[in-house]
Amino acid sequence: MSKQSPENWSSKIGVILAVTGSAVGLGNFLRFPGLAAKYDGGAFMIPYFIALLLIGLPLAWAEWAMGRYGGTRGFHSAPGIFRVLWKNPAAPYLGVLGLIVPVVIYMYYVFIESWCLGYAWHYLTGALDLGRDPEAYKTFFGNYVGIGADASIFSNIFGAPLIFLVICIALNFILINRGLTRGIELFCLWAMPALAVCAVLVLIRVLTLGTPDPSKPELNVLNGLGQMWNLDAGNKSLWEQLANGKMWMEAAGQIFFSLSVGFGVIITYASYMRRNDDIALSSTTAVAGNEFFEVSLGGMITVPAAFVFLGAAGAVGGTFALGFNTLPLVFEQMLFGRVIGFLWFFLLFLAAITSSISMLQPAVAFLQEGLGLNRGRAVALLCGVGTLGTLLIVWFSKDLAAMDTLDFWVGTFCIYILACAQTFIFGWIFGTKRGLEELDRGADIRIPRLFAFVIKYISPVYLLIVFVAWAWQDVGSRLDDFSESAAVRWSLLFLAVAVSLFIFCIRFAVRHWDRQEEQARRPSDREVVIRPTVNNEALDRLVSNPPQSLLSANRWILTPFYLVCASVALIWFAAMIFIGESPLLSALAIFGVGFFVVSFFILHFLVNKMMAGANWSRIVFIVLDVWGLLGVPASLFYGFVAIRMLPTSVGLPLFLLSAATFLIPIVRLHFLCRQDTGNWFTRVRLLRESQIMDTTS
Amino acid sequence: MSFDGWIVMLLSVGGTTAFFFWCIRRVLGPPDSTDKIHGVLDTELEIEEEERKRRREGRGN
Repeated sequence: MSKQSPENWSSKIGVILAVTGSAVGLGNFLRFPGLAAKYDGGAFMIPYFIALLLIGLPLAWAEWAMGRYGGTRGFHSAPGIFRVLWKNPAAPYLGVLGLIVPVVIYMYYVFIESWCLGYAWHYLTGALDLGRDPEAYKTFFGNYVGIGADASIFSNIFGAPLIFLVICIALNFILINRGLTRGIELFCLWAMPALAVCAVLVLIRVLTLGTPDPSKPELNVLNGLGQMWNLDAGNKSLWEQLANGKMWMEAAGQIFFSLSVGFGVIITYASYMRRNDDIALSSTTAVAGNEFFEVSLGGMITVPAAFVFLGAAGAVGGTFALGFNTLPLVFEQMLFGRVIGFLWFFLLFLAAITSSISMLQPAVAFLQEGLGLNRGRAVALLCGVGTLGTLLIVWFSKDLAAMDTLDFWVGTFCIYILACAQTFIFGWIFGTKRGLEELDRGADIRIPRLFAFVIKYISPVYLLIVFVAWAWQDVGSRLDDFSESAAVRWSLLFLAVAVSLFIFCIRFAVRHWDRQEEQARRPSDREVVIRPTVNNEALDRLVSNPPQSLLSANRWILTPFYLVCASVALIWFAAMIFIGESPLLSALAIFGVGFFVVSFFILHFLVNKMMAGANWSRIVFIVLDVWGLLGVPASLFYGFVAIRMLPTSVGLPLFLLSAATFLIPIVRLHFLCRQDTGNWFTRVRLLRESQIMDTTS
Repeated sequence: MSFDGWIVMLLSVGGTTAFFFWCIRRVLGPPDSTDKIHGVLDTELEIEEEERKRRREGRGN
């Protein structure tokens, strides 16, 4: 368990506002209205509310219960909490998703956050008075985010985009460094009411727009609301609209992303609740708060405002198009438009920052409890890694390719996987009975008993259907992007390195936690002294009989593994020479082969030394981990080369083969050796210690 | 705006707003004694369990 000093929320309303702040973001004010308008308004609300009841609320309750359960046992990060919930060696490694998802989403979210702050500032100074030409707003947005060319933002180091980005990054890390109560909670206590006030002011202005252009009487507020809420806004009947499977999928996705379930954030926030605090009402209130901001405020502002000035065509669009191109044009035509524009973008900034700070806390908690770092060091380390990722995203700004790639693979794909894993752990491992007991402890409201059935059977099936349908539709085209865009390749390479780094850290953390638990179980010093001593013969016998698994691992896994690796590398090398891609690729291939051969000999030497009795298991494991760390990006690199040079039907299987060649033996060897060698070295150490004690006494 | 549009809007906006303010009222208001039964029982059970454990440990020494 963690030895960090216990940290808890100071008030119930504080944690509710923090969780609501984490959930309320751009999706509430831009994505939700955009989707509702796209699917003919009112009909969209039916699958939306069904998804809320079958996925949103049950998953939120499950995350709160798991988080508090893990927190009362000293863990605040997904790897630690999963390890407590599921006594399986793989459980903490599954928790890597609970770290990588929020951290990577933070990396691009902070960039978007800086646009909101920048736009708010530009409204304040009048720099966004660009007239009534829609192209002017598109050009402004394109230049601001560098959509035209990679790294174009860096052409002016002291330009507004970079300055606001630096301000946002600094603000995030200052707040997170202040800690849970003095940073996140205190900020949300002020920011969330301010956000609500801004939203209500903008809402009042929108609802009082009337008919701004008397020559177009049909463009009025009531018809704008009709565009958002009418059931028959299109030509189809309600039943025809409900037969659209894609609408059900997108409604479930909106609920899912809007509530921040499957992010790894709620589980961390809930872990700071005390044992007998209420979590049932708090979790329900956080969900209700998010829905209030999304449906009651977001649903009443964006689409009606856009409709009143631009008509039905203007009210439909993606998140960025609606938020940064359409609405500034609307504000331009509105009385007090400059003030409303400032309030609007400031509220988006507040919504974004309350979300982005929440994305940092899981990783900070993990670095503290897993690696034993203090908060300052954990924040500094995360600041370095996070800023590096943000710079990569800002660098590959052309068509926002890097952001789009990471949003797809992490912000969508990984979230689905994590949510499925959490549902599985809660419903089938932890158990709904214990889950309900956890929710009931200190509860101010009683969660309906039907929840147990829903989270165990209905939510996983619903999630799986949505996930498979989404993957069927989108993943295929994304795989083709590997070979087409350098930004995509670099983004995925970065992602692979980040995942490997976190897995490496989890490996250390698990050993750290194992050691702590072993120390807690260890008998007292007095018992060690009175332990019967043993003679040298017993020690020699033990040392000369290393564990069988280590011997077989060396014989059957390690040697063939490196031979296969070397063969794969040689095939790549030969392919590159034959196709004559470039000298750089050839050099990299030669490096790859050299790396395999040298590593092979080093590992072989170390394992032989281990079997001769040297306690070098730690070094061997470190080498294996480093190998895994380098192996993942290396396999990805060779895979990219294969996909680029060969047809996808040949390149993709080769890529998967190379990834599996690296990963499977490492994982297998690891788990095979770990248990036996660990026990063996413990016994050798105890015998040696008892001999030393015997000699000194 | 059509009649069904009004119905959908009132149900959606009214429903989420009422749900939110009901939750807020429960959070900020005094706790309802009947709902806290779980918590009280749990706490009592925990205290009893801890006392039993302490007694067992005392006997062990």
